[in-house]
Amino acid sequence: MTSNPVDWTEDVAPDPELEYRALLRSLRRTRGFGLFFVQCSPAEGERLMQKVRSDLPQKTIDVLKLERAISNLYDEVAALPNKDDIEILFIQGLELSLYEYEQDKLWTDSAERYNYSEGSVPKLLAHLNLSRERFRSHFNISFVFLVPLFALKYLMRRAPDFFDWRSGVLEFIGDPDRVEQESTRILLEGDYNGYCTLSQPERNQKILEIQAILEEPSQTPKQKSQLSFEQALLFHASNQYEAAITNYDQAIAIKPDDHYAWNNRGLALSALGRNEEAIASYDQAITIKPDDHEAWYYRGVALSALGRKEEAIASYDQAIAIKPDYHEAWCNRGNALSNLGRKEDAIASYDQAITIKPDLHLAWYNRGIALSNLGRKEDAIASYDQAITIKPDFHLAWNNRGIALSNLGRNEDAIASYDQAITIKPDFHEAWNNRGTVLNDLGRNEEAIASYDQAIKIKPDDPGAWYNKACCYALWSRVETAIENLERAIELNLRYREKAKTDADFDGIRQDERFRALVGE
Amino acid sequence: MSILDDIYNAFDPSPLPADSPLYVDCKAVRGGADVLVELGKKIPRSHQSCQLYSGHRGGGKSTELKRLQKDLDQKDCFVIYFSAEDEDINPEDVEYADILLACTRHLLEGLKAADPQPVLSWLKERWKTINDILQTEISLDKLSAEAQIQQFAKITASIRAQPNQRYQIRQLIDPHTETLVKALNQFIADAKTKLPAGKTKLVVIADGLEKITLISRDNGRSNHDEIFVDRAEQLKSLECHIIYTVPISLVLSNRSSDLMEIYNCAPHVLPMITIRTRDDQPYPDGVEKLREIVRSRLQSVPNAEALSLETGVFDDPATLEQLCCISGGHVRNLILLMQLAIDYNEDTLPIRATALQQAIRQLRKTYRNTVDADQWALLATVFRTKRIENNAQYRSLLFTRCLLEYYDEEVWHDVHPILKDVPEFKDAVAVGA
Repeated sequence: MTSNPVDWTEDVAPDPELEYRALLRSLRRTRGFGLFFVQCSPAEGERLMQKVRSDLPQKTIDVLKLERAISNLYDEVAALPNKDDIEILFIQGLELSLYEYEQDKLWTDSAERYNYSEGSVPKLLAHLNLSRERFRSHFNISFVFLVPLFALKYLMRRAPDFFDWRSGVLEFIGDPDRVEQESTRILLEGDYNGYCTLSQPERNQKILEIQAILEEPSQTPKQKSQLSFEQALLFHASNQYEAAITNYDQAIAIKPDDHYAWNNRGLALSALGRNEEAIASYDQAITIKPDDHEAWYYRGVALSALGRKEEAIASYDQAIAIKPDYHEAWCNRGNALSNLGRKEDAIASYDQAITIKPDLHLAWYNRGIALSNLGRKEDAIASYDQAITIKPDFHLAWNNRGIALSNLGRNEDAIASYDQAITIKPDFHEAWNNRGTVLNDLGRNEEAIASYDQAIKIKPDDPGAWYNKACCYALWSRVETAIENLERAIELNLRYREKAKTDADFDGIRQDERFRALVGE
Repeated sequence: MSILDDIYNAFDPSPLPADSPLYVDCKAVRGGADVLVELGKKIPRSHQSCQLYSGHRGGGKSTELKRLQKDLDQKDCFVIYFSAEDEDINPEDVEYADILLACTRHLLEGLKAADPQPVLSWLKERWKTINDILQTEISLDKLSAEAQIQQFAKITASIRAQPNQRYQIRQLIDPHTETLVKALNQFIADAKTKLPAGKTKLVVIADGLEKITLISRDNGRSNHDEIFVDRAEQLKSLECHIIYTVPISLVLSNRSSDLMEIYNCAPHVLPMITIRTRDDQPYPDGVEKLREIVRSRLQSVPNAEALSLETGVFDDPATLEQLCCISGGHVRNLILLMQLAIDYNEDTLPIRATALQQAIRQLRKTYRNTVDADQWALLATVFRTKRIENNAQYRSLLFTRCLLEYYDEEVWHDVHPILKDVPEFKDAVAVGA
């Protein structure tokens, strides 16, 4: 036999066909217990199982598909009714157990995941590590674990003794076409709103799927960037903003001019209250795409959150200049103007929003508040009425409408409006309190007290309700009770001591020693 | 069935039973390490001893301990060997009390002739509380001694089951470990008088304890320290001869001197078979020993014994040589590489270099995956100095077998040869040169 000298220092390339044939031979040869680990994506795993079934018809093959995190695999296998007949058992879903263990602490992206903490160990792996003898002596089965790379690394590091009894670790990298197809499918299927409607386990499943396909060696940078972005959206939809940011960053690292990623990154930062950073991120999006109206708009929201109302208005103006029918921008611009005391301008801005989208109940409501602040109570009520017509269970509008009505002296109407608010939201303590005040004005003291009591029951530390009760009792000349309630209000907020000093409601008991002592006169 | 199938199945990665014809005596190329002498010699000389045994996983510890068991059995010793599994201990948070209870259970089961009363009385005194914790209503009085012993298994089982119960049972048992040890020692004393004819010594071999997963604490210590260092007094207080296996990372560490002091002897470590010397020269004797291991397994296969190892089973003597060298002198790696090479080979002999190349690629990838980016420089340092420092980084590399321990006149370390051709390693060596 002639043989060319082999260069042992050169690593050979893996070959999917060779890899598959090696696995097949192992499985065919193994008599009884054996451990095999196959690194593959879930989709690749399905194909592999099908192929093995058709290539090894003489073997009894079964699949144990783990659908949830487990801590003991031995029991799962022992519970299989046909465990004595199975010769080859594929095990899928082991990663779910690791993944539950990781929760949100380790797995925001693959780089972070590989900082395996030695501080603890996933239950399942600790169990496996001590159980290999038991598996071997009780199951005459070749176990084939289908796992993504991250799970494989976990097994190597945290269940080393179990892993050490393996007869092989085979690697089934999807061929580039299939990776491409699979990636495209994931990208086409996904969108943020759709992700929001999924349950958390469903979103987690998608994240796993993406992480598995991201690890495919034939993955192109472009797809990597898109998949990272998709993963970020999933985290974003799960309210895991830190993880979302990490993944937006990864998408951006590959594709720095992705203004969507910059924009969303800003949103995630804003959600964490990191508005300064968010603004910087929106600025990036704007630099890339100066007519990115959403970036201008969200930038305005972030500036507004920081109290930088003038700048916010300028940012909204930019958004509107690009997209004149951007009603969200008009509405928020109105809020910013209103905050600056520019009520007339605010109303004009709300009007724009409403013209574009007449059923924008928030704009009607905010417009009502601005009108009310200008003393235009009738107009305010009409605006609230619009909001309520659009959204009949808008309890805030009912409440504000009540306030405006009572300001106009239309107390009965006000009570009816508060009643609506309370019917919609029974624990709306402000409405109960406001209702009490109107009843008090009408001289319906007992009803007023009952209404305050409701407010207090819902929010016992609301000094306003205690104070109003005290006023009510004072007018009623129930000195002792009035003082008790006032005492409580002052306890909760010292401001009420000052208020009581000049409040005419207490004139009837002002000379009382106890009252004087309480207000410090 | 082809002959390759039979050869494949002859390379089984699990430990060999004592007396296995597959066993190859490697003492000479493991720096003289012989478990029969090193662990065995202490036993005839004393009434009581506690020794630690360690080594890389898959290096042959259990095989050696089973040999020791057999050897002692043939002398005047009664040996109880058990390998701790998750039936005995909860792998997540093992405490010394769990190990003590596991020993108790195996002693009770192994020494049926002895009077279990001292231990059962100890159990009885705590029975009501245990019943409450386990929420059972078993009356010990109604149980046979046999059944009472089984209750011990139940306690150990609970320790691995519910975290709540585990905590409560430990709360209950911890303050009483001293009395349990005392009771156990009474039992052992009685057992010793009732050993089968010709037996005078009782030996317990507690294998498998090194598989307790390492958990690092924030203070730089680990659960291994807590068990084997902090609780050494309890672990060594059984009045018989006892051998515990411990993780190699513990032995290597700066606890080594602690261990020596506490256990009154250096922990015995089973080194790898030397395949290169400390000054990086080939070591033909070691490589030959590995060939012998391959040969002995082949000889167990009918129709294979007549084949020439160098040219019939392998395509070239160099292929076999490479198989032996790349294993690092680690027996389970050798066995695995052989299995993998057979899988990557065509279905007929000989096993070709190209198949071994694929096998090496696979194993190399696994090793490479366990090394973190910042560890390559450490590996390069050890490659140069053949020494390791006492810190967690090196311990972790020893634990993953990226560093292997050898012995000539003293202990030295080297990088696993499978990593030596990895680009990251070569770069790290070049940087440090």
